[in-house]
Amino acid sequence: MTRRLFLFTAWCLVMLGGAVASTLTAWSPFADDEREQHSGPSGPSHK
Amino acid sequence: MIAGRTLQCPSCGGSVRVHAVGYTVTVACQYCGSELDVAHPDVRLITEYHRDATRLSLPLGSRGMVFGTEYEAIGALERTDGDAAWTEYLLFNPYAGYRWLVDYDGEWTFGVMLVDRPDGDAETVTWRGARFTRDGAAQTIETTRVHGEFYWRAWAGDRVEAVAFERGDETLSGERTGDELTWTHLVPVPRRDIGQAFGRDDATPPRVSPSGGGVASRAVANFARMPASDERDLAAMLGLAFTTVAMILMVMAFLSGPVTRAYTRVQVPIGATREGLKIGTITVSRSWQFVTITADSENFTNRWVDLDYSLVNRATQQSIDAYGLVEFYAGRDSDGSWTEGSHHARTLVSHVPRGTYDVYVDASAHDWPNDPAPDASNPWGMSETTSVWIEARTGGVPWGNFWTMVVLLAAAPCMMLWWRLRNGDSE
Repeated sequence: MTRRLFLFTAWCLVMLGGAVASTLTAWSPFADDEREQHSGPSGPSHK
Repeated sequence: MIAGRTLQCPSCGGSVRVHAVGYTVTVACQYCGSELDVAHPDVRLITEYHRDATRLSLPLGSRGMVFGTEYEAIGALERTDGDAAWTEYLLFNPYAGYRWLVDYDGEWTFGVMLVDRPDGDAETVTWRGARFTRDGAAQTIETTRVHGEFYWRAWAGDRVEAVAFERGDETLSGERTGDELTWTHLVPVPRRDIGQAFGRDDATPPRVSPSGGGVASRAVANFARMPASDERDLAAMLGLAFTTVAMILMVMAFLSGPVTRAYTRVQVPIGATREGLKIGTITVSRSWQFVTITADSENFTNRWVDLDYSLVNRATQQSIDAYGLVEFYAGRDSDGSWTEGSHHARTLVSHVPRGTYDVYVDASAHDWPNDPAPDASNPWGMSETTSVWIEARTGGVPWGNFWTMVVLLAAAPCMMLWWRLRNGDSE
């Protein structure tokens, strides 16, 4: 196994560990929090 | 980068530097050519010579980048098969290990010792899925002179039985000494690249081959790009990334449960808000879980529905809020008809602690660009509504996390692939 492949394997394990940890703690930076108070009305963005 | 130690030649007193300390077994004195045994704490004289060192086309101690790794030439063997003579340089990098660089009348090949042996018979062998065909008869190769240091006891006069198998420009060379059989994978490299890599413009000029083709070939062109090991690395990395992505998806799908659901249909008034509508009750039975709320509306156009969710913990009465939006628009302009949005919305609530939750929604719908005017003839009548089906459930795959990890995993192999294609296209 080359050094590069070894490092990438370690990176994959880090990602897998991160997936386990984020799932067990139900953590996500992409959660849909409460909408901002000052958000304006909706409407199409089509120009 | 490459550490070493210096010792004194017992024969001539010259300072001899050992580069691969701990690996090197024999060293040839660069001044008198005597062979020294450095495997023991006290340096022993194996064979004493008094001769001038040969001028090598690649001086020992010179360093160069070969296939992305810096190697140092630490040893050289002058060898012959009785008809022709050539020089084999032993390269060393403390992290990558040993490699070979063979100078055969100005034609250079780069060799990697194989750990995984080829399978086959006397005529063909298969190595890593590639088939190699035998090239010529077995030969006896003799080492005539030894320079520098080696990881085995290298002697002038060593003999090996060698056989070569070829596949295009690549060669598998097998050498047998007693019961030991070692294999080396060799690819040709251009002389100019050797000269550039080791800073030698006077590397041996190339011999003109009978075919006149020299060593210009696909494998030669690959020298500046990537070695065979890089291509195998790339395939392995892509496979590893794919496997990891599949495992991550399974982890996210199976570890996010258990699942409890609540479901209801909501009639949302246009231009007004319905507050405190209860969707149902769900139970978070793990320390933390995601809660996924999906909303599907009837088939409206040019309308949006604001959905403010609240998860109220029955025990503490604390509320966790989230927001969803269903919107769909359509129109026609100079480019033709267009649509925007969806009748489906998915809301992910993260880090919801253990407990039983009542799920509420405040829903309001609006037409675009303006809400409909109230019916003046029936001011107490029901206003127009739109139907939205809402489901709240514990668990769910956090797709934002998933796709971020996919990008992070694919970045390295994709960069390698891009680099390879870019260099390939530029030739």
